[in-house]
Amino acid sequence: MKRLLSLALGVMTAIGGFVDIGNLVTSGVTGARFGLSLVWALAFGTLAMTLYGEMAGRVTAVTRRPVFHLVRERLGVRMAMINLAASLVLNLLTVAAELGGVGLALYLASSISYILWVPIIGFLVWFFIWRIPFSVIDNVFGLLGLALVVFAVALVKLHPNWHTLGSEIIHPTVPAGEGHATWFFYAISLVGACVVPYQAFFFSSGAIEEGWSEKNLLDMRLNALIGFPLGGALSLAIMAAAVPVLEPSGIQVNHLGQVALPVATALGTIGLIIALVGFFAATFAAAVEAALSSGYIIAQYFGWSWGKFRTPGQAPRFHVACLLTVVLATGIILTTIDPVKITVVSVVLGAAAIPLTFFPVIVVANDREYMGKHVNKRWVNALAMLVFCGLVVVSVATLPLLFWTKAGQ
Amino acid sequence: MADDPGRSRGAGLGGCRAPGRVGRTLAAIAAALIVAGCAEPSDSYADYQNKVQQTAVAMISAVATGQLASGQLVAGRSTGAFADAVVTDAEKDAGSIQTALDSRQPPDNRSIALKNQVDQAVQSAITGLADLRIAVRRDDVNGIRKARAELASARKQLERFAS
Repeated sequence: MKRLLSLALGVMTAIGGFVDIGNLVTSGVTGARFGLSLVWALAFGTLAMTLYGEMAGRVTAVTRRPVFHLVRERLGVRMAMINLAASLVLNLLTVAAELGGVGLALYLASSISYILWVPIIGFLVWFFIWRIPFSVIDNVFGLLGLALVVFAVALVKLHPNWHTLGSEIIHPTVPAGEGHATWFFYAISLVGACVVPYQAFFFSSGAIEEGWSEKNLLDMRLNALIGFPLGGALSLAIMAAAVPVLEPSGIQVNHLGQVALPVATALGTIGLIIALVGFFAATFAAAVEAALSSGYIIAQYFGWSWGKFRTPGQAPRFHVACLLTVVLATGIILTTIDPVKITVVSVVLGAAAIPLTFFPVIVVANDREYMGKHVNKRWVNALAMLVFCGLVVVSVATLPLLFWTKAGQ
Repeated sequence: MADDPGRSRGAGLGGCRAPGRVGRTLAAIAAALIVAGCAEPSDSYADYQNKVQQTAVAMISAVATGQLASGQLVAGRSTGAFADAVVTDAEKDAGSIQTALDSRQPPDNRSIALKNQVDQAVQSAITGLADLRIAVRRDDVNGIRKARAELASARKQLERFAS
């Protein structure tokens, strides 16, 4: 029972962090437009996030210090400052996108404009950060987020041509009428949606919130190795469900509602309601996590007192940083910029910035002074360096492809 | 640290300042993103034809979205609120697509003739989506069926330009 409960943190990170508005949108867009020919990018992103999360969690459990603080200590103030600035900008865009995503989920359920929901959602996110215990958020959203499994059920009910789907995965080719540059641009957006720095910061800081130590290494590994791949599998289900319904109709996904259309086709109203609950849970949890992550990294960089287990009186600057993030993100969405566009920009810029946060984690995970006998094994290092090289290629290619394809048009 | 996990070590920055280069880079990225979103002018018939094709493909997507969402509603496989939201979004997309087409200057007479033809199809799609949105909001099943027929016809017209 205790093991099952400890797994909930991983499940929440997988559902609320891994499957967030970025995954919902990019999986829907790519499934409708490119079929399953970009599953390799999803698999690569999932592998990268699993490695990254496992290393970040292990570093935290062994040293009992959060990753961002070690990054600052190990790489120096200036390097960590660049890291902090990039992470904060990305976090802000991510929180804005997630708030918009929650608003869109409520819009789809009520047909009341998402803009009207956003201030209420912003308040609720702040309230959850301020008042609701970490374990409650963990369990409630972990369970609600599992509603997204409805996409896998819908896929089975749609009776797709499994042979064709499998063939697209094994022999990926650029679909007729699409350019290679556009195809690779969306591959990058999938990687960017999977490998999100705030997840690693949240995962490591959350482990400290829950009092993890070296004794919890097995729990942490199970969480990372089960939770993140589960998130990747859900993203794959969302992508695959779009193939038999949206692709033949010529529907290009521009809105969150279009992502849910295959579920309604397969399972009707009940399935649709479950999918909307999943959208709400995944985006709301991700908004809370990303806002908390901003507070964590600022406080850890500057050496302030931090943690949700501390009251605003005990950790005032941490709570103000979280609050400011939520307020600014709410302001961004209230400008009426399309949340889906913010999502695409945030995942693509995130892809460009991944090495900034991935590399320091590898460095710290290899430092025997910090990690003792728990330093990276050789095969983990080999895999991590391969993945890191892939992430560098992604990072270098991101901006040229963004302009070349006019953001994937 | 074990007693006080929330307190980070090594506080104090010793007068460290954020590098100005970071701010300039972010500003450059923001400017480049804005430029990337701008439409470029068409300078030949072939180029304009290509833009018309993209317009038709995007408009077919909006029409198909309206058809699918309304079909689910009529079949009792969706909620009125969901169908309303999806159809409203599709109608807005169609309006944006039309505005984008109108903002492009046709480079020659052949392009103007092509624009006149595609304008008709685009207008039919927009009218069909508006009718569909009204019928969905009124829960008018006959109105939905009529609007779906309009959309099917508009889609046929658009498909001529999409291939």
